[in-house]
Amino acid sequence: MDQENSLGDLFKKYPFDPQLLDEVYGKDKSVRNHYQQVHQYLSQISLKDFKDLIEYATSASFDQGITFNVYSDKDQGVERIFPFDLFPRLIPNKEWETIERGIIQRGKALNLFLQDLYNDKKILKDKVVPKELIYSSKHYCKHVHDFYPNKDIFVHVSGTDLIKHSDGKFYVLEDNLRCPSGVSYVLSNRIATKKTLPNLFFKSDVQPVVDYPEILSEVLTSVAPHGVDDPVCVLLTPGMYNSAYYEHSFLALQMGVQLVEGRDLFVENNFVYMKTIYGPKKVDVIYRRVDDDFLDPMVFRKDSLLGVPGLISAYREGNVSLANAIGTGVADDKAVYTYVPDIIKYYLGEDPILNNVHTYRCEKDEDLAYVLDNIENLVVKPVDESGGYGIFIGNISSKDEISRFKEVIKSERRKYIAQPIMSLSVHSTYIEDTNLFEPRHIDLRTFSLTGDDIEYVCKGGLTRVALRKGNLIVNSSQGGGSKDTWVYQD
Amino acid sequence: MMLSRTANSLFWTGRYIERLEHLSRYLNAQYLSSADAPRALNKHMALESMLSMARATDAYYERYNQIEDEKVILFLTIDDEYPFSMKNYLSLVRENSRGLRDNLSTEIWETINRFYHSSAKYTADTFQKKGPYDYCKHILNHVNIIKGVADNTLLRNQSWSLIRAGINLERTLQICKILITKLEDINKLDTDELSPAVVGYHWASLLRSAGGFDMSRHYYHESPNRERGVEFLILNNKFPKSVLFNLKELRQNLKIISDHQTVTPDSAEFFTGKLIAYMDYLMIDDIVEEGAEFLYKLENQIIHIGKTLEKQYLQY
Repeated sequence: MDQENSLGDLFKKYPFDPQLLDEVYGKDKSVRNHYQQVHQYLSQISLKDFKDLIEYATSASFDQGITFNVYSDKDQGVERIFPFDLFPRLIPNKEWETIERGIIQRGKALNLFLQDLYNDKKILKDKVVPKELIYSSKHYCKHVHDFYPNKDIFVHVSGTDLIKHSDGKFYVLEDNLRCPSGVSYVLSNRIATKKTLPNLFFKSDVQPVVDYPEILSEVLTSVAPHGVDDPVCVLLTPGMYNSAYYEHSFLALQMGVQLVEGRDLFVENNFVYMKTIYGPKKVDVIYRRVDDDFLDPMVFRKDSLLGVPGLISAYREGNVSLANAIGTGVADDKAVYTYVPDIIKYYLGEDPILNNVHTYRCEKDEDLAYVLDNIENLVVKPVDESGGYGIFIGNISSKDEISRFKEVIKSERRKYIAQPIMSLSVHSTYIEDTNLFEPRHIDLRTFSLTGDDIEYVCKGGLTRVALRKGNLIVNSSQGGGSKDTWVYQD
Repeated sequence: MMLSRTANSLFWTGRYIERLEHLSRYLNAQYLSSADAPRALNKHMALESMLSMARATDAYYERYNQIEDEKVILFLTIDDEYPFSMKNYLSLVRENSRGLRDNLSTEIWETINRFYHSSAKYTADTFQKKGPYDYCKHILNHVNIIKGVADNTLLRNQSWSLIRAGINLERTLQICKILITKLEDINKLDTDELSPAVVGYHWASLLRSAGGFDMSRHYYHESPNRERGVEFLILNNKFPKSVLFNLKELRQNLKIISDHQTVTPDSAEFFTGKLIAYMDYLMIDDIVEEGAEFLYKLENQIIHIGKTLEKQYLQY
């Protein structure tokens, strides 16, 4: 092996920044304990071999069609893969246990919150959460008033985004309670690691992630309508032009359920059927990857062709279960997020295990004043967007941009929240342009499932990497990449 | 339990794959054979024959005034605008199977996806350097791989039978088209030029176009002529590309698709069985006597089976 070009030599050139919390290296640039084995293994690989492995992993993703469509002038669009970094992110079991307990606690509380909001509204009556905030939320849904979903579960599938701050603690950045995506990348990244670094992987005691589809399938079955013994479950997709279509087809295949579009379903006498080669077949549970607004043109958007007319009525009758339930979006509104610690205390009588990032709500006068005075040190986000859209970062914006954005906030105060610019931890990541490993900011999306007597958090998750230097936004739609995430078994 | 939309995609995936196979084989065989053809045959005729077999003559003349080899070949192979170019068929196969991910094995999807991406390297430049041979060979190889992977990885259930039914039906139609086109080619020749050598040449090229030259020699131990060519491609019970062979396979597949339900007189199963019964007692002399007329009728009957099948299972 050519010593000149081993990854070990590259690691020596690593531009370590003592200001940032580095996942791999401690303050004195020594390799952290739980990274020793992986670091040593990678150090012995030559850069040429490493590049071959990247090439192999890339072409494998391409063959599998794990691609995004990036639409350009031409109709067909360009297919890109979601960049995948071979240096895995490692989480010690002890840290993971806290994360897992925290996520389950959060999930429980949010579920109770949703049950209460759409029924008794105790939390509003007790003024723990202001009712104006709820009723003004874009995702509050009057169609589930006085309604309990089968087995009382609103959120079956959730994706909680976490970051590790320079104080070494995990913080919840946001909860995704509508149709969180990304779990297929967790599974395919794992397969890619197993293929490219088999010797390393099999020597390390890593917790499996592969059980996710199986548990999801159990969750869906567990919430079937009352009296249905052998439920027919389907996955409802907006279709193959949706950017998460790969994931939809992947999960349907893994679970062995039909992947349906709205046009494959119809409702008769408040029951849902799919159109099969032998005529109609009743459907009991729908794992829907279509947003509320597009589910039923008779109730929501009239122009939507993605949904099924009459679906909501069948749902309210209890003849079909939807995962997730309708109206869960109100609980992942970024303004409601600020109340989650209070929500946990209110319903569970416990202190939150995972911290929230301190959040200013621009609709509150004192918070607005603080935001306007300190905007250079804040990230301002719209409460109802996803995918990293509409985010304003104070310390990288010009004076002009700042004064213009202040006006925007003032004109729509309910719409904006602000958070201190959190110093996301960084992870050594191979950068093709420089042929070096460099620190890049990362976060972690976890995936959890709730069914009747089922509480599950996928042991790992999707570590997203902001590939541009200094960038804090890790979303794939903003040019991010990802890493396989290993939770060690003790 | 299968969705009608899924069934539709499976069936048409089979049909498009088969269409690709026959187009590439026909183009290849015609192009290569035109290079060292006897005097009476020229390149122009080969090109016309390609357009005619692909049923693309009118579309071609809407775009271009005259036949030029480069234009014809690019039009039929990698043209973006012509919806029935091989490139666009390939996109359709891939789009269909992308929509079928939950019904297909990972292996077959990856094979098709790799095929799609690896075909992107063929441009007008490549064709100028290498002619259509390389491209057609590429298509043929991959189509065979896809069929092999399907064969080895799919359950023998309705999904499988729908793909196979698409292949069976399309194959019978393509064989009819090849035969009709070749008969037209022969009819265009002056009668005094029709030496046995020229005719023999035509039937050999026909059998090559259908991928049946070697096996027909093996079967008859004689050079091909009109009777043997037609009999082999229409009535042979052992040759997997003959019309009758495929109709019989189609009948089997329809049984699986219908889950062995009783056959009603308005079903695809019924029309297929009826056509098979008729062809089982058909003599080769009857076919030769009727010539192209027979083929047109046969083609229409097969089209009718296809339409019935779609109405029965695929509409939603």
